[in-house]
Amino acid sequence: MRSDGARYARRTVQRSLVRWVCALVALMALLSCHREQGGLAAVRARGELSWGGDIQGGEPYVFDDPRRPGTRVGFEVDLAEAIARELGVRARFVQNDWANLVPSLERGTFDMALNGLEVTPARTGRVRFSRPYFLYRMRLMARTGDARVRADVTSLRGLRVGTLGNSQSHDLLRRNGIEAVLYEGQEEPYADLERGRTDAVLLDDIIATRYGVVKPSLRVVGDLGDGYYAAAFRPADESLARAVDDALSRIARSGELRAIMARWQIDDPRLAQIVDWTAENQAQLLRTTERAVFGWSHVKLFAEGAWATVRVSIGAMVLAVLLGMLLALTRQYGPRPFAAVAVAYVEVMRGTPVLLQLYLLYFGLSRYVQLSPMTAAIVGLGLNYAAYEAEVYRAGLQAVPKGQMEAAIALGMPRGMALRRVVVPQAFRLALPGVTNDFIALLKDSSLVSVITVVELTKQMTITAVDVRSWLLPGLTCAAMYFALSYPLSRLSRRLEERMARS
Amino acid sequence: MIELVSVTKTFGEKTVLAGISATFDDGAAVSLVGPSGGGKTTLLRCLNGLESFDGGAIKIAGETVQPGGERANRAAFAKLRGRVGFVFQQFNLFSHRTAIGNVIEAPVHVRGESVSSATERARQLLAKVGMEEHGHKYPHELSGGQQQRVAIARALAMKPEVLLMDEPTSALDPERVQDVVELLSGLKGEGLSLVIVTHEMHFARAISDHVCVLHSGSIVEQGAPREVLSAPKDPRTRAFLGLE
Ligand SMILES: Nc1ncnc2c1ncn2[C@@H]1O[C@H](COP(=O)(O)OP(=O)(O)OP(=O)(O)O)[C@@H](O)[C@H]1O
Ligand SMILES: [Mg+2]
Repeated sequence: MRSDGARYARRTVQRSLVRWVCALVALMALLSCHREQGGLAAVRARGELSWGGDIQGGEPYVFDDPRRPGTRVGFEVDLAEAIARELGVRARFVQNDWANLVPSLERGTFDMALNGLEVTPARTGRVRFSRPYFLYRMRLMARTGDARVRADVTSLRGLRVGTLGNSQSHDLLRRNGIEAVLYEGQEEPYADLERGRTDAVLLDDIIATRYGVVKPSLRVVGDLGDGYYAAAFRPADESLARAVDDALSRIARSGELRAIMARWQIDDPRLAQIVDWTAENQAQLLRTTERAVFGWSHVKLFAEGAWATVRVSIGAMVLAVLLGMLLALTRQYGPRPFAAVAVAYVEVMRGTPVLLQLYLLYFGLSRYVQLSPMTAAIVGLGLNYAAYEAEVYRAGLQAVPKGQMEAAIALGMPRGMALRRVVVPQAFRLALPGVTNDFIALLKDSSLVSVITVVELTKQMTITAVDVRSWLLPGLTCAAMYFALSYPLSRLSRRLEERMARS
Repeated sequence: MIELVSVTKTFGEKTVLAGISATFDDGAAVSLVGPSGGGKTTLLRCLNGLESFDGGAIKIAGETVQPGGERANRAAFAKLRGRVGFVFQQFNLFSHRTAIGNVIEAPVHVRGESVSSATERARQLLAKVGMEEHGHKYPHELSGGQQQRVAIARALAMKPEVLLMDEPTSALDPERVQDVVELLSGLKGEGLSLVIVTHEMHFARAISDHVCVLHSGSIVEQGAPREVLSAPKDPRTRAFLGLE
């Protein structure tokens, strides 16, 4: 009777499992069908050209109109509309994280990426660039009093230079062996330069003008080279790319292109050279330099990234373990007002994103405390994880039988000593598997600290992926390294749990 | 001498101790017996301040304990707890320490003895309770009876004048009860006062000089075990002993 029941139950489980798998396969098939078919014909058929950009890139590219929130404005908005008009369709903006514009384009999220994409060798291998629509300069800025920085790359040797990851400026710095500090926004590099966290910033002149030149303590040192912005397409959408090339030529020759730039105060006589852009110019621009191949040098960089990950994780965990214990004890045994503060701390830290906390700590507080990126990473993650550890310990403290405390008191121990010598060590033992699990989670969450310019394992992976124009090998290497770090920990946690279950 | 003067205690609405008065001589072994829920454990816990009481006073080991618990008796408890040992019904050995570690914990950290001299004495105490072989073991590696003996050694390590024990025979096989009787008789011979809560009448008879019968928070009868346990006068005691 009972075994019949068990067999029946098992059969039911198997059947529902099969059903789930079928549903999943169907769903995936559906999703992959959804991937739009691109090309000029498809765009015309839809009557719409979708284009990707990031409003976070800010003025004057694409940004939210401060007077009419929710409306996008910027020179690229004007340009996209002009292009769409030439193609006889509407333009539709798609918001997309700037760092992921190219992968999103490849996945078919939009037809065209148009957002200050620099024509770099790394990108030309992956996307089909249009003719350029803007000529920019890589502008070097430094603090007014700092004479070390000159308009010459070699003067930057040994200095820390802020820039955006995977930009042409980043390429230039790397090719010359200069330490690049990588940011994800345009405002922060200049703020950090002002505060002395970096010695110079190398970025496109448009960005420098909007965000750097306005700061009185900074000066323009000079320009280190030129570069071009162009629209990017999937290589398979050649017909669309060609149509946009033609449209851009018409827009440029009619004078509309420079009129748009003039409207946004970024017109420059030198733009004349992209008005009469020839096929040879384009061929010259796209002549890719040698492309990096994933090899030992990358593995070495990955090892460095992994070392940063380990340092951040261990540092943050030590802080979290100590502060977490203090919070749990205060909450459980402290005087009421202190206990309330501990409760509030835990709730606030758990109830707000750790990314936000990192931003606030590193950029928000930089006027009052100057933390190095590594310190801010350790402190930020540590403070956040302390809230989780506090909960793990609280469970541990509650699981220690009351008789342990009573036995200690009956032997004449003061309460504090009884806690320290009897209750806490036992609670810690009970909490250890949970702590180990959290450490594994922390190891992976440590990738978030790249937003405050720490190059750890995941950041290294994205840099390398762009270099070698593939996510596969760098991605697998990165995954393997994370796994190598976390697997021993998960084994340890299971061993601890087993040992606990036995005693 | 232990002296209880009209000790009262309530848990919420419920009166658990309804005016307990008694005097126990130095070096005597006292048994507290009576039906379940009568207040035996509560009274025992009041004697070393693990439980506070609401009225009356307790004199023990040269200190006077007043109502009001920890807050009102800080100084008294600080002195008293070294002189009054407590052996819990569940033993409550420190589960993260070995038998030796349990025994030396308080001498080293409360009394400030050196680890080596405390360890030396701990070995002697474990030998005395017949546990010299098991000093390196953790509580979960010991049987109930073995844990109890470590718990006794742990209490003795503080050189108490009084030893309080809650149901020392409840974790034992009947044939082991005699071992505990011998162990406790030996301790009594060394001048230790004993207050023991028990359900075992044979045990109470064998060990004690004085028996108190607690019933619903009152001592309904007390005296020498011969009288109280063999020829009780109070009908409630007779009922409890199954003599009616
Ligand atoms: N912490 C507490 N809160 C509320 N009531 C309690 C508490 N501890 C004990 N009591 C009550 O006090 C009364 C006396 O309990 P106590 O444990 O002293 O009895 P006992 O004589 O030791 O019983 P037993 O022989 O079953 O151990 C019981 O009715 C019990 O329910
Ligand atoms: Mg009891």
